Amino acid sequence: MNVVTFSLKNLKRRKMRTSLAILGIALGVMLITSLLFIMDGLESSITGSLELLSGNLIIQEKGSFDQTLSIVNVSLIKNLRNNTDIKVISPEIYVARTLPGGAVPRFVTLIGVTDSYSEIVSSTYIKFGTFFNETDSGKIILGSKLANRLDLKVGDIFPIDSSPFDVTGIFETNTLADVIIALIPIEDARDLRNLSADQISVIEIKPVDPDKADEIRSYVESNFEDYEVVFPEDLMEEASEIMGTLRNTVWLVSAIAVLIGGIGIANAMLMSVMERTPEIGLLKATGWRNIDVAYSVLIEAFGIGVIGGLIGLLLGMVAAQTAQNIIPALTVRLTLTTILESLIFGVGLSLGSGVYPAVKAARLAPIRAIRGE
Amino acid sequence: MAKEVIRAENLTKNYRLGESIVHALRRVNLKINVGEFLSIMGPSGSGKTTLLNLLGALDLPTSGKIFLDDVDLTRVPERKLYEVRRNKIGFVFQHFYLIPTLTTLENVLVPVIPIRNNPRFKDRAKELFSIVGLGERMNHKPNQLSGGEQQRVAICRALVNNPEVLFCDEITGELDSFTGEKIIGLLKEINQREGVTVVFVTHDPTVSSKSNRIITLIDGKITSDKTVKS
Repeated sequence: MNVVTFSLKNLKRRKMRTSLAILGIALGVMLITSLLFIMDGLESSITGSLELLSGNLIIQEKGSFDQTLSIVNVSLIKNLRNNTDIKVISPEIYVARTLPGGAVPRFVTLIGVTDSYSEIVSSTYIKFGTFFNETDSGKIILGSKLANRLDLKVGDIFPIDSSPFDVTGIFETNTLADVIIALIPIEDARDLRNLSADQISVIEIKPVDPDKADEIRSYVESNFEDYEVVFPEDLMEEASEIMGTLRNTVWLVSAIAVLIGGIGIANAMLMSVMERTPEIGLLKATGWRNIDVAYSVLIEAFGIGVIGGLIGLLLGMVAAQTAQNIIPALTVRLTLTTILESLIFGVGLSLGSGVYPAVKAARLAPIRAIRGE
Repeated sequence: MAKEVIRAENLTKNYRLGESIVHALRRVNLKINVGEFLSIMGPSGSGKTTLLNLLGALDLPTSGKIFLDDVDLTRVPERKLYEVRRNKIGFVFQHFYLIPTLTTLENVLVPVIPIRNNPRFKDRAKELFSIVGLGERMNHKPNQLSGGEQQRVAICRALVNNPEVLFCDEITGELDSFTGEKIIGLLKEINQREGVTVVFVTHDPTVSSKSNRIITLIDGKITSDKTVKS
């Protein structure tokens, strides 16, 4: 037997106390990992959504809060056709609708599109079924997670405002779009919005060369002062700033949680050291050095940290997965960085909490300790 | 002439007890030779346990000197004292201080846990178990043993490192008189067989009568030092 096995056997002596200390760390680590897993998922889904648009421009009404509130006049399309830097022009009408029942998220964004939309998106966009023709009516293409959530397949019916829409296709982008977006023919969208024949929501543009995006933007904004051009890249920068702040908040909240777990360990270790004072006195009387005693107590704290950390990690994965099942909009990603960070944090804190009890135990004078003083 | 193992010179120990000072030992002088089987007698509060702890390097005197193998323990720094405790001294206390989750064999090996290459002590531990008559109970947990058996395990633990001196503090205190006598008999056997010097504290005259030399302490002073013919 060596000091390590001796110390780990000590953990078994007060099973309830050890379990509670382990639970304290496990819950803290669970909180960190689950929140960070959700953060990681959110981050990759948002950057993914923006990357999908990358290289494309969206022309919308100046000052409109988002695409569903923007109104653009179709006459703009004719003017854009003269610009040789533009490869694809896709007029779009955005319709916001609430889903029936208690689904979360409760809204869906229907985008009315023309045939040119298929040139905007990548070739692997459609996962099942096919695009509809812009002259069709009552057809719909659903995001994969939206379809999943509503339990719809190609060939099923999706009712919008009591009119039936045939599901002709299901698309997948592995971004938030899969959860909240559905495509319908543009004239159906116009009817749902009650827009007149010359009104659309936005115009999405694919440049001939992505480097020309800036030129197109200044062309539009200087010639048509009622409109503005949105760059996905601008949004990406903004998003990453917000994500950074969010991540720091998550760390702060979970650090406090783990700290509370750490106090639990310090308390459990201190109680255990005090309870075993005569025994520690005996160890020292038989020739254990101060450092041997301190090492032994630290090993106990380390053991609690490792077991608690691993359990917390497991619980965190389960919690994140459960959160994703309840809220489909959440995309959970298990990253190695997060796993390592939260493990190291939990174990480190446990070790830290063991320092004071370890020093206290090591400094006990043998004869006073044996008398239980 | 017999070889000296312990020598105490003008050993004084004062405790502070609240406002007052307790004079536990007053200028005690004592020599113990190798292989002696010596008992320290005296009423409660006479300083006998204090003396034992000082001789056994568990405590430091207020003044005076303690020599163990001609090394002055009062000049050994605290961080080096463990070497003395680990290599030269064995202690048995009134309470057994056995660790309940370990087997009796593991308990006996507790002192050598921090020592590298400690499996070599296993044979010694097994030998001790057979000497004290517990050869069949090495894999039992302490709570499966009687008080006398537990104290025998504690004796094995004190001897596992082959100490020069075995100190025993009221080790029959928690045992009935029959078991207590058997334990003392066992100590005597070990004393003769292994040549280890045994110093034990007791307030029970029947126990001390088994020793070769009886030192009596009263109020921190040695009042008598008798050699008993065996």
